[in-house]
Amino acid sequence: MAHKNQERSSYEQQWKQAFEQAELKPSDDLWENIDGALTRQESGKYRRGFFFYRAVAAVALLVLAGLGLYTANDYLLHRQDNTVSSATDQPAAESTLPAQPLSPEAPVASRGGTQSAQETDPAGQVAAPDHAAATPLAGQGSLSDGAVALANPKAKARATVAAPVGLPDNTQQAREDGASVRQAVAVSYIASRGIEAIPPPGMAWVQEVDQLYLVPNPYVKDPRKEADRTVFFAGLTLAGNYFDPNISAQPSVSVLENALTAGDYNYNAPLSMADAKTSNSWATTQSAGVRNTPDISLSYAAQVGMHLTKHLSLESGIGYGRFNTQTSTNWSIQNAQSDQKSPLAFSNTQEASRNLRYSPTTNFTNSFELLSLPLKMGYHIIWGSVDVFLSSGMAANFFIRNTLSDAGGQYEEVSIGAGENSPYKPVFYTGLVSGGVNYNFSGNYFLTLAPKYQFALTEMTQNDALITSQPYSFGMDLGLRYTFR
Amino acid sequence: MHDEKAIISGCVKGDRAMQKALYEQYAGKMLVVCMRYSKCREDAEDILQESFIKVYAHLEHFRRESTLGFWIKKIVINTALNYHRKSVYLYPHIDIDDMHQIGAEDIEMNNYHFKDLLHVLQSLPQGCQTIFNLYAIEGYKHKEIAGMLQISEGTSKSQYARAKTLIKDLITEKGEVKHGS
Repeated sequence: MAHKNQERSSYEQQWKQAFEQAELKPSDDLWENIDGALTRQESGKYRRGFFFYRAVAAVALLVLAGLGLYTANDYLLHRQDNTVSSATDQPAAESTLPAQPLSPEAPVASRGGTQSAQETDPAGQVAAPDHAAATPLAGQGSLSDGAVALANPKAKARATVAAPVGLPDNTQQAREDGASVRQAVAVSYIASRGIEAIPPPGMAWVQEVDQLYLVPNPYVKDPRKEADRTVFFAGLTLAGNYFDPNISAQPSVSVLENALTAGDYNYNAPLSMADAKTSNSWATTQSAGVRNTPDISLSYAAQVGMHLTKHLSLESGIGYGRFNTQTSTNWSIQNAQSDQKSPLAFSNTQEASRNLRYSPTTNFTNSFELLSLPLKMGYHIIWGSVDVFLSSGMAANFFIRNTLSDAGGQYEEVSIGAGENSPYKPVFYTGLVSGGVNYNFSGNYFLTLAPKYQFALTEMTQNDALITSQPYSFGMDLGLRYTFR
Repeated sequence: MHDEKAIISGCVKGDRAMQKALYEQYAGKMLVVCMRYSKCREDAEDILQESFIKVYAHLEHFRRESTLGFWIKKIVINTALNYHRKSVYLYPHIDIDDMHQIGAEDIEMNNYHFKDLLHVLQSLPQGCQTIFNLYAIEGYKHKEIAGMLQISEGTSKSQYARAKTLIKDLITEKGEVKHGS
């Protein structure tokens, strides 16, 4: 940095030496001011940290809610399957017979005539050596001619209740046949549905002689198993977005204030100059002429994903958006060497400390170009051709550039990229929440309409930048989706 | 009295006691630097305050390639330059030949207290004051100064020459400093 001492004249040496050991006592309140500024800075950091954790918690909550909904739904499906078989006051007799798929050629359940439970098995189990896949189940002491046996289609069949075919369809009648109250309810339930009852998915009623068995139907595919098969999809969407970069200044920022006090005000001096000169706050700086208004912009995206189960999907893709905002400013920055003038926006605050000029109000487009890589988990409920879904996740957003374009032509277009000399980070992260409808309008094609909300998990700006930006956006996706079946 | 390593470590962790210790160790010397670049004590203390906040924010990046005092001084100077940075009109170009007609070297600076010299410096126009500080006291070359202030090397030289002329004028033949010029 310094030129060598031998190159310096005695004159400069004397000046240097005069100040070498010089000290002055600062004002007593200076440290208190620094202490206060540090405290404000720390509270700002805390607030930003709190914002991040709050956002992460929100996303985690949504994912948990989605999983909870899925689990609850799965539980209800199981419960439905087991409703009939669980309604007895007798201890369930565990079938020792494993449920096995039945081939079309295999014989269905056959008991070969009327039997009582006692004749069948003292433990209430029905031996069916010649048709193990069918699992006739016998309740104790209540079997009469034409017993009905029910089997859980799940692997671990629970033997619970058997009821005679042709039982009266009310509980009282069942009671007269000697069943307990709860057993009677079960019998009534079965009888009321009887042979007309719709079997669980993948199962079929089979009646032979006097016994009714529930066995896997080899000719019918289990729709739930079908739905649980992984299905891939791909799509394209166009979205309208209301994007707000949500820019604010850090508490200790003073460069703009310095610029305001050091700037050239001779050009069209503003009414607010007195405020500006004595300003110690960003608020005054803003009131002196930098305002940003969000606007509606389009974004484009391509998605790929898969349905992990009937209800759950995982989706990723790539998206591009040029998000416009409108900024008005009374300040311009003039490059001392090139004489190029650019409007003062938030992005070029750092440069403002050099050649800030007060100018007539200029309105210009302040746009942010981003490339997004989202990862979302979705929960789907399907009614016929309509798939209603709720999804949440996060996205890595790559900052391409911030462009200041003056349609009036007063200023040349200025672009600010991301990186070391920019206030913007190359990558920042956002949380995503969306819901909507996929409509199956033809074959494998779906139309998608989905409102969405995106919020910052990390700041779009560098940690040491003079501004902070935690953008958020509302949008509506309109898209086309193809499902590979 | 804390050692420098402990102070740096404490400051990086945000220990307010260590931050105050660092402040107490360097604030006096750095206030003089700020005063050299300012017109009044209030401005100097504003610069000092902003400088220390920057120091605390960036201390974790201090690589010990120089002394801590030198590193802090660089931050103070940069902050002062930002504080006073203006358009190019601050540094009007004057004829460089004036440099050879100054004869300021005849003045014996050792006869003056640094407070008197501070008054002299603060009486200079802002551009002259900045460039004189950078060249004569900090030891930067005109080429380096030109880069720092985004001015031409010739402007730096001419401003320095003008500063020397003005300083000579401010110090009377009787060896007294003219205050408030």
